[in-house]
Amino acid sequence: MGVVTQQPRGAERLPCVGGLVRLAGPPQITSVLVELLSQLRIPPDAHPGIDVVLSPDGRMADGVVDGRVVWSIALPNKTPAATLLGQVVGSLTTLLTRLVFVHAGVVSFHGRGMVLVGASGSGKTSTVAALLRGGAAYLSDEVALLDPAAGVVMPFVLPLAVKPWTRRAAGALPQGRTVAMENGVEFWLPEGPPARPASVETVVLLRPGAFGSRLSPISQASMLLALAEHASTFKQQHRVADAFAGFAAILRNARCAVLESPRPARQSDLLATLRS
Amino acid sequence: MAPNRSLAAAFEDEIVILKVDDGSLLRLDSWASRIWRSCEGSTTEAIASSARGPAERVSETLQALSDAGLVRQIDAAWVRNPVEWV
Repeated sequence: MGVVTQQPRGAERLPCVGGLVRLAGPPQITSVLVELLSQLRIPPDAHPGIDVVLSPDGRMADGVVDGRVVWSIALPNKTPAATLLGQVVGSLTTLLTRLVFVHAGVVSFHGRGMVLVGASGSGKTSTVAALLRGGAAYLSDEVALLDPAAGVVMPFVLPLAVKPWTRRAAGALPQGRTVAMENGVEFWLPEGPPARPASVETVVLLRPGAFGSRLSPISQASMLLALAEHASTFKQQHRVADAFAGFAAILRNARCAVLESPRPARQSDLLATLRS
Repeated sequence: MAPNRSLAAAFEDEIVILKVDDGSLLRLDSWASRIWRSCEGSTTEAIASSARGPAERVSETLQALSDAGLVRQIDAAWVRNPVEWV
């Protein structure tokens, strides 16, 4: 998937070569979004494409699919790019009707995927960063995009959104580079070869734990219920049956566990035991 | 009125059922799965006998399954409400 910037509404539009997200608006916002979205590669057959059109003052944005405005939002002064990124990612995952998604970090080890599911603030980003330092390949910090028919998790490569506390929890970041900064959040793109789809071998639920750390197996049925509690295709009312069938197919071949820890990023050795 | 559509997925000895209309999920543990699968026109006594469990526990489980809309009683026989397996 490519990302192409365009001039604001009414100006001459640039062609969108192979692109699925087209941006039009003030460069101070669209240039950041281009950096954030530029590593995304989604099969073109999976998506009709989305136009994101910002007002000239950068305070409002519309999402347009097939010529129809599907959302319209006000952008905050401090974090317009991050807000818009979340909206665009939400639109992309909604439109990927062949696939299902859950809010999660994803890494892989020699083609074997590990999906880290957790609420915001549960330590997904710092745990992903720690696993990357240990040699894992990067697939996503935000979205586990799952293809139930193939039994794989697809790369959904956005930069890691490293907040100050994320950096403290993760320790050193893996090799990579900062692609953007916004209001204290550093968007960090790990180095490495292009990510490839990976079989879903393990699914781990991250839960804050007050004392000590514990990794416990849970049943696939329990994990299915847990996934339904998180931001995922389950939350799209018209796709709840797809979500159920898709996640069930994925989980049948996966090992499932819960990691309870106040600092999950420090438990990468524990997580490594799931791979044996 | 059309009956609510339900999907079911089996995982080892557990079953998860989705009620599509309201998006609710029900997890049947090993015991409840066994009782639910036994509801093929059998009486409570026959199910208890085949499940080799205390009749009182079987009866409670059947009532819970009925309250959840997963089984119904026709005369004295328990039958599962239809589901689509995925």
